[in-house]
Amino acid sequence: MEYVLQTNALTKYYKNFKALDGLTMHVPKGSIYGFVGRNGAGKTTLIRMICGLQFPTKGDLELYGVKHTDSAVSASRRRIGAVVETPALYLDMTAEENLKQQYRVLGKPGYEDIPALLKLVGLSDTGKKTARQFSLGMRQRLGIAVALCGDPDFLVLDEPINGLDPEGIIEIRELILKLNRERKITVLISSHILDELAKLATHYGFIDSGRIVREMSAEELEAACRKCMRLKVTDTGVLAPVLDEMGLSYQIADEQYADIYGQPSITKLALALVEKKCEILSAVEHDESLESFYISLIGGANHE
Amino acid sequence: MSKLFCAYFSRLSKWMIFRFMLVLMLAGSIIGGAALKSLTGAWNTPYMLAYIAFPHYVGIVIGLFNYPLFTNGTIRNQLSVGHKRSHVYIADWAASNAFSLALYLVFSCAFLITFSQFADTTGVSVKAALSGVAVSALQIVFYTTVSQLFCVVLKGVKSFLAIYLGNQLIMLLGIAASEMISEYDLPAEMINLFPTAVCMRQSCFAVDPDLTLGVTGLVVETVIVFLLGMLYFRKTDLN
Repeated sequence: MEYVLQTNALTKYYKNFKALDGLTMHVPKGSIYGFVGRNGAGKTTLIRMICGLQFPTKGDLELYGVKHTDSAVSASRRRIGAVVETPALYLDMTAEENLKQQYRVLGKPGYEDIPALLKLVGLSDTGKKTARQFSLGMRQRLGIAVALCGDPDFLVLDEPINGLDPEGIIEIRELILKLNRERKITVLISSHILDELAKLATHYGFIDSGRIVREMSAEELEAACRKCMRLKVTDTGVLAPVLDEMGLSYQIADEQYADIYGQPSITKLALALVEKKCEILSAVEHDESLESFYISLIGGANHE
Repeated sequence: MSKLFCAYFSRLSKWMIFRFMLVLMLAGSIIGGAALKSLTGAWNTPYMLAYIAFPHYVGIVIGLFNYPLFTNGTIRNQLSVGHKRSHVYIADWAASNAFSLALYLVFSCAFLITFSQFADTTGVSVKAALSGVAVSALQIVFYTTVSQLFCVVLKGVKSFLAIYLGNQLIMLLGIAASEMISEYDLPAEMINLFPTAVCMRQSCFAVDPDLTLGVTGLVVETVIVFLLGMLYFRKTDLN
């Protein structure tokens, strides 16, 4: 798999406080990577490092295969667009002037793409209104437009839906999906609003106390959160062929535990297992939400 | 770096505050030049204001110019697209200086031209006038560089306060040094260590005999402050 961003044992100290503690993560090309963690987990610190605003104390960060210590990383960063925390805008300028300013920073020769960019983020009718007069959602969208000025193929968004109303959240979500699908832009999006991320992300990285607790794809997460029957049996080696015969999907956890998806007939299953001399010791319905999965992950990490 | 220069200077040229200040300086200098025509000593107004008023003036305008960059964080849009920190710092320094120098040069040149139309020009040396403006302009560059350093190190209102107090302190030290050197018989060359004291010796009537040493001192001090600022900016974490 090709990765846009990889970090290896990234550590960051702010005086005595360890903001990142050996963080290792991988953002696949073309993905929408949901970077999940509670406030203060280290999400923004990592994003600042990706953007070159802060330096790691230890460890490596690779952008498009170029290490952060390599001078060529500047060229890699030209392929990035980022909104870190609040959108960085000139408040005395209009939306169009803000984009023109960023075009100059990037050294782009003309401004002919600006109307399309403003249309893309839904700000084409703001006229002479300055960014100071914009709502939070409009500023957020303008921030994304500024980030898109350089036609990036990697977009980094730090809590882009924070403080937005429901309508604003939907607009930003639609925009991110559009950019990923139509322009094939890889998106790293940090958030602690899990339900919203679940509507977008193709990959997840769960961060806690500066460490990645787990990385997984959306399919893996869906499987982990899927409604299932958790069975405890005397031998899962016997259970598996029985489940195959019954055409049920399942996942064997260990020698005693297995998760069975769908709605199996317990009576039929019990009878089939009795024939093979396998006993059902317990059967518990298991329905894990994304939030409870996250809590169990973080709780697990905290108890290590 | 040319992209950054283009971006910074374009922003400066379109900035309403800059345009307003230029008009204000022009109007103020013409009105002042005409109003002070009977005062022979008024020939030295551009130099006096350069060391008394402009350090504060420059501090405020540089604070305003840099506020969106360092406090609102628009500098992130430059760094995150791969511009080197040193290039960003140099471009900002150049634009900040263009801003403060434009204000000073418009003021001093317009004042001297207007004043020369009305006042007695006896004893006035064009060479001395121009060298005075040049040395004062160097002093403006020094204060701009100091103000930029404060903007990088501190954010928001703190940076404005630091600029005001810092520039005031440097200015008062210069004035105090100038007094003490003559009063306590200290080596006259010491004056060249204090930008304001160097500037105080300018006049439209005669060229300062120690101009070279004073200018060298000003340039060296400006370079040191600039390098300190750039070093800090390159090494520090930004939010």
